[in-house]
Amino acid sequence: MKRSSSRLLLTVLLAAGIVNVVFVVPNSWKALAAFRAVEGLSNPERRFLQKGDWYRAILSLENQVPKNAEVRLVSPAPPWYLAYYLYPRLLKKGSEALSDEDAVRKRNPGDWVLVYGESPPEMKILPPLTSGTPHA
Amino acid sequence: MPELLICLYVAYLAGMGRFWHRWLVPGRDWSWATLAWSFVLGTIVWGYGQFLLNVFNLPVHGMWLYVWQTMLVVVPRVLQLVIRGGPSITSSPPVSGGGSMDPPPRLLAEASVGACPCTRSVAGAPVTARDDGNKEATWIKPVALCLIGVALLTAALQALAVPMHMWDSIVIYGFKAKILFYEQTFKTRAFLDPEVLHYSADYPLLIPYLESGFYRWLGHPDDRVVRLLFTAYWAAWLGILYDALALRLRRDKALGLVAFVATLPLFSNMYMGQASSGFADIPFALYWTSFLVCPASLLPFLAVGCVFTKNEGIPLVLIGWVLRGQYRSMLPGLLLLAPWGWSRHLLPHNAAHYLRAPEWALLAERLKPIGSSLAGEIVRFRNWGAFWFLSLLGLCWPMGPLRNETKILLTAVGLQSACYAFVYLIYPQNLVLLLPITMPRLLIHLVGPLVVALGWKFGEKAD
Repeated sequence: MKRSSSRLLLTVLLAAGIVNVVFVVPNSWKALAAFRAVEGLSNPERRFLQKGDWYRAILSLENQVPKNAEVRLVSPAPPWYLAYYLYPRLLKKGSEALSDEDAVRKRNPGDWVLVYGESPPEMKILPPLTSGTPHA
Repeated sequence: MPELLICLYVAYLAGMGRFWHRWLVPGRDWSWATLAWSFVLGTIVWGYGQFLLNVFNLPVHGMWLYVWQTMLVVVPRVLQLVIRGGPSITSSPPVSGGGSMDPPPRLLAEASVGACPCTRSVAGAPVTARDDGNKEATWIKPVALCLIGVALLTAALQALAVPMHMWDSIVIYGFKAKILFYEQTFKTRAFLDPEVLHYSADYPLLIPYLESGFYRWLGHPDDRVVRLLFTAYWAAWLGILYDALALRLRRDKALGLVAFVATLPLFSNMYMGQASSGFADIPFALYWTSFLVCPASLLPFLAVGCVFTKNEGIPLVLIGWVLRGQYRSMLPGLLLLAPWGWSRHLLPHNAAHYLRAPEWALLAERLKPIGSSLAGEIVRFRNWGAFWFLSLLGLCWPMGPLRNETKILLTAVGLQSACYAFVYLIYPQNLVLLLPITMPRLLIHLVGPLVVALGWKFGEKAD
């Protein structure tokens, strides 16, 4: 490559690098601040800080439903994160209508039933009909 | 301490990959770039290896995991001895008449340099960009290394601050990784039962297998520390870029270009930083870039890497194979991929079905939002800095006729863009919601081949 082209390439690269640095330095600073702010916290605590109350709801579900249980979801708009956080509890399709709560329980007497609605906000977990456990 | 364990896990992947790399690419001296290539191979071999163990119902519980991990280190050494017919796996080329070792496979550009008489010096040695007579600018290397260091540190801090939290990283890959950790196979109701809420159950499994492999070491899922695996992917991608660029560019310029790519704001954005997001886009970009520039002996493995990481890999690998004209490596690649093709067929297809009959009347209407979203993304300095402006400028810069390998890369970028546009056109659901969340990530896939092509273009007048 000719010397002038080479110098031009380096100059352009340098200018572009400076543009990047304008964005990267604040990002780095924020990353450092975030890292130090949550240092020493457990992962659930970090998630709670990150996501707020809904994660508290997840924790309460985890505490009530035993691992490896099967959970039927009754919800018109299932939250996308539920299956991930509840696993190894297996989240299965129940119904999209909140009014189907009893029908879903009767159809699947061995499964837990999770009722989730956003308007109005509603979330409850019902134990299997066959287990005899009281409502949570 | 999980942070230390993930570092050991990455070191294991790279170390195991090194054995495979030495077998498949003999004659390559050790360098930081070979470390990147080793990581590439190690992730593919271990991720796909776990899948094959599941396919053939081989035991993976308890200590079996470590037995297989040891085997994967031993196998390439044995293959080296058996196939290449000698105890030597030294990195130096064999002396004449001293064995049956094949000549060292070369990168795409290296092969071309050796083949083209016009690039040979009077003495017969290949002329590379390193011989162009220009002195290296001494300030570039330390500045570039410093910038890359800052970018890496930022990615690592972001990874360690908060657990994975975005859709794909949790719903697609994280969920599968958890299942694979608890069940140690994909042949389970969580994958196969269509009643289970499992989005895209038939999506490629390389990333989940690698995540679950780390969880097995750790003993429990940790979706915060595992993000460092993606940082390692990103660092390896930068290493591959450097290795490819340094074939035609002076090393200081190659490093400067890599530093420019490493500091693109998209990779360090606080909430959506792609360098450690837990998405498969950086791993896919790594495999795809590697596929286009690798020696032919690695093509079957990298085809597995592409196809087993993202569905986009299926058309792109075919395009790459045709463009590179390496048809001999297609058969082993397709044979390797056959178990995944079959298993994918058995998994429930519960995601949006792209290849249904498209509504032709709507296609023209869809071009407008696709075009405007693309234009909006290209000028988004907050994500890309001046990257796309410089790329367009570099593409248009008059530099005389392009070499064949540069044309291959640019054609690959063009066809890849056309593929993505086509998928957007036939996407069966709301495109307006999809475009802003996918466009920046799909553009990442183009960055590697484009940067290498531009680097090779500007390094071509070395003589």
